[in-house]
Amino acid sequence: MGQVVSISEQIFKRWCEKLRNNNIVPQELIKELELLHQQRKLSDAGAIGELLKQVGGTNDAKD
Amino acid sequence: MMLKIDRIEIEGFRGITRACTLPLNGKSLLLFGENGTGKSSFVDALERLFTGKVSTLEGRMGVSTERHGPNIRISGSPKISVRFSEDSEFTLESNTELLPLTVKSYLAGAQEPLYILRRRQILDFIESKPQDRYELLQPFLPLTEVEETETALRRASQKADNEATEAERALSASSRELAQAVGIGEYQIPMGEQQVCTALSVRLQAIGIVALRSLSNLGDAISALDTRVAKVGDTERLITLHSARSLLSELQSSLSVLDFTSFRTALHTLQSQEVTVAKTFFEDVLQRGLEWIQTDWQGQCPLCETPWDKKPRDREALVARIHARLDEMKEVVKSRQDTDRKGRELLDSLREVQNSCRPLRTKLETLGEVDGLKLLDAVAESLRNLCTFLEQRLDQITTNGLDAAITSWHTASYATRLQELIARVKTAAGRLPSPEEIKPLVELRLLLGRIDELWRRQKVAFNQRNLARQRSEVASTMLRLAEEARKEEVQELFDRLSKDIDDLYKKVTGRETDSEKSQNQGLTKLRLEVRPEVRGSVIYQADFYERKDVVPNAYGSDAQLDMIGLCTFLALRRWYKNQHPVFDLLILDDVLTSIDAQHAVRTAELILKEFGNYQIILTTHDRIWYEYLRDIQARCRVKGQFLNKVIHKWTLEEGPDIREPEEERGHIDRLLVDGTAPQIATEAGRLLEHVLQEMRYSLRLSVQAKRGELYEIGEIWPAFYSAMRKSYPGFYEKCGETLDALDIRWTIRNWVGAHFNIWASRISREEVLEFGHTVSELFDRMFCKDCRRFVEPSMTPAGQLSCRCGHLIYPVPGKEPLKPLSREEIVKMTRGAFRDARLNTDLYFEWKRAEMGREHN
Repeated sequence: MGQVVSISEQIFKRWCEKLRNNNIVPQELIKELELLHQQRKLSDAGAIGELLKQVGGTNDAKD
Repeated sequence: MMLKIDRIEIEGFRGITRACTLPLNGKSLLLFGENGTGKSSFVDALERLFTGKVSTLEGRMGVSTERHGPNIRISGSPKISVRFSEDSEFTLESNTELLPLTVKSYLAGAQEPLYILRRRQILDFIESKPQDRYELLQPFLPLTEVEETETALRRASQKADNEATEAERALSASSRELAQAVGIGEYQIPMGEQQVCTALSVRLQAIGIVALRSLSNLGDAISALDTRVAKVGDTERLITLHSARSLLSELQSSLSVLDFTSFRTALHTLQSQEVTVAKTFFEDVLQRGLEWIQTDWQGQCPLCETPWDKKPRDREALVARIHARLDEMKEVVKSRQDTDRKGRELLDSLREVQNSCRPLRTKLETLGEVDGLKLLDAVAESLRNLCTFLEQRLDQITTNGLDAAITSWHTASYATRLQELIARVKTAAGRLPSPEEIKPLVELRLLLGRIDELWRRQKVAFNQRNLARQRSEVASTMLRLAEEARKEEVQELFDRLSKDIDDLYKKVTGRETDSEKSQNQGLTKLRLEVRPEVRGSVIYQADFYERKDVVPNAYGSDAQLDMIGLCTFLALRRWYKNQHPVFDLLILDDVLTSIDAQHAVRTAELILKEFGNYQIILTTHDRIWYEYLRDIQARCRVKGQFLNKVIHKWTLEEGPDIREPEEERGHIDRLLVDGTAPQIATEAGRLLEHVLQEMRYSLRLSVQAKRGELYEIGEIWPAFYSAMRKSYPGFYEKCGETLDALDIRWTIRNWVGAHFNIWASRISREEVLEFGHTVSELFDRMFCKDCRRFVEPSMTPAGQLSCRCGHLIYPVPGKEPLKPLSREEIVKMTRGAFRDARLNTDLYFEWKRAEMGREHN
């Protein structure tokens, strides 16, 4: 009996594909999102917020 | 090996009162029962067991599974259990953790009631609003995790948006502050570098510093200003110099006005008067003597104590003389007072000058003016000496002494030396700009420093704004793409589902094999679509002839919409099985009722063919349809996969009676040996009722309508007996005696078995036994043990009764028995006219008449 891929998983894969094909979301961030997905933490707005802080370097670095 | 349900046991739930067992042995179930006989109770019980509730009992005011699930006649808890092919049992009390893995997987799939379709649910989906439809589809689409992710992304995006707005505000404030500092009213955000440079350049150029080309050169301008200010050295020193110069000038002025001469002259005059007139001493003596003479010493001289001879003339002469002398002293006294005043004035002036030396000394110390300090100290020392000298009693100050002090003062040439010091300080101060000149420089220097800071702050705010914007854009992009991915994925799923729905619909409408032209007639291209502009919304679309993208319920009949709903459910069920391959239960509770015969046949065939690998529970309240479904089972070659059950009757006390005919027959045999008369009468009566119910359908007996169609023997027997005698002479020829006997004895069932009355006491046991034997004989004549069917009128020839397999045939007298035709044979014989029809004699006759008419023509 083959492994059933859930629709959630398919949507996540499609999302990652879209993220990779767009030039707005940094590639490093996508890897971090994949990690969050593996940890089942994508529903954590705080965790996503922390990832966003990595976009463009830290605030301190920009200061 | 797929897990199947082997047995279902229910007791005390809904309409099922006593323990009732469905021995499926892994087979599917076709269950027939009139309305109100408890068919749906089996479905409800399974739903309760697998999902914990009965969806039709939930969500309605005052109704709940907990309160209305249990049978009203049973006080204890309901009992529902399922035994699986793996010999595992699952009951309401089971601990699922202890069950085998396959059973757990099965139960996981069964948790959502996505495998049960009830009549009332079919139209719900079609008629529902798009958002409600999405809700209805949600159990099929386990998107909770995806939706939670989208919610998290939405929150993160909102937060990033807020931060971007805040950063925008901070940048705006920073630019405004910068513009205010530079003195510009109209500016852009962020304020442009060139605008700042231009404004600052005007002020720099005004003091001879080169214009700013860029704010990166701001450091150069600040350095230039610093250099300019550095020339001043210490502005404190400049101020000190000016202050010292001012104090020195004041000191010089004070010294120049010191009036030694006036005091010296007065002193000299005084001392000359004192020498020429008298000693000052006598002034007091005379004054005092006068007082003595006039008051205390009136009889004698106060000095020599010589009596005045008591001559007033002598005393008066002395007084006159003293007055005269005092007048003479008056000038000296006045001169003394004048000299004393001038001495004090000089002393005050000296002390004042002395005091003014102290701040001056501090300034000179600050300036490091050593020579000046020496001079000032000398001045102060001289002043102190002078003061000390002048502080003596006036009569102790001699002119010579005063002259010596004055000479010493003048000899010191303080005025000249002070003048030199002043010139020196002035020269030093003159080498520096004045405080008025330095002020703009310092202000501009401070401004440049502030601009540097504000420009840096604006830059930081600008970067942070850009960063916040970037994060906001990233967050919103992530969200947008997540929504896109979900919608696309769901739409792709819907496309697959839609194709499946459309294929199923084509099959049930028979359009699958039609020509291309007719395939485009009516409702076609059924599809589910995600509404991209609305979250969680699904629309149902179809084409209707030349009209594209219409909602099916705008043009479809109720029956068509029923079929669309059913096809949708079946497509979803098939998709759901892909998610839960172990779980294969499919329950259709009386869902084919409103569909016309032609479509219902196709639908039934489709279900049995396309879902042949499912364990199906199919209920119907339509007896003809039940029979026909049994035919379809054979036609679809799944007969062996089905257990066909009939609920003969239902009572509140006993619940549904689902015994097989053979069971009833066997039970009578046992009772005929050792049963009581009422037991025999009751059971024989039940079996007779069962036979008559079957015959009522197959012979299409004309019976007066009765609510719930729960007819008793007396209501069917006359019509049955009459029909058998008149229309089926072959049967009557062979079984006439049985029929005639029953025509007399059927009332025994009522007299003995059902209702107590006086007649019952007159009925002998022999008569009851005879009744039982006769019913059994009739059953044996009418029920085929091979095909497990009662005899029915053959389609052709008319008047013949036979079972389906042809084992029991009662031919028309004088005619050869004709084995009943199979459906395929009938369809072939009627050249396809009966392909999807429910077959019966009337229909056949109708066709036959039409055929004969055609042949005659």
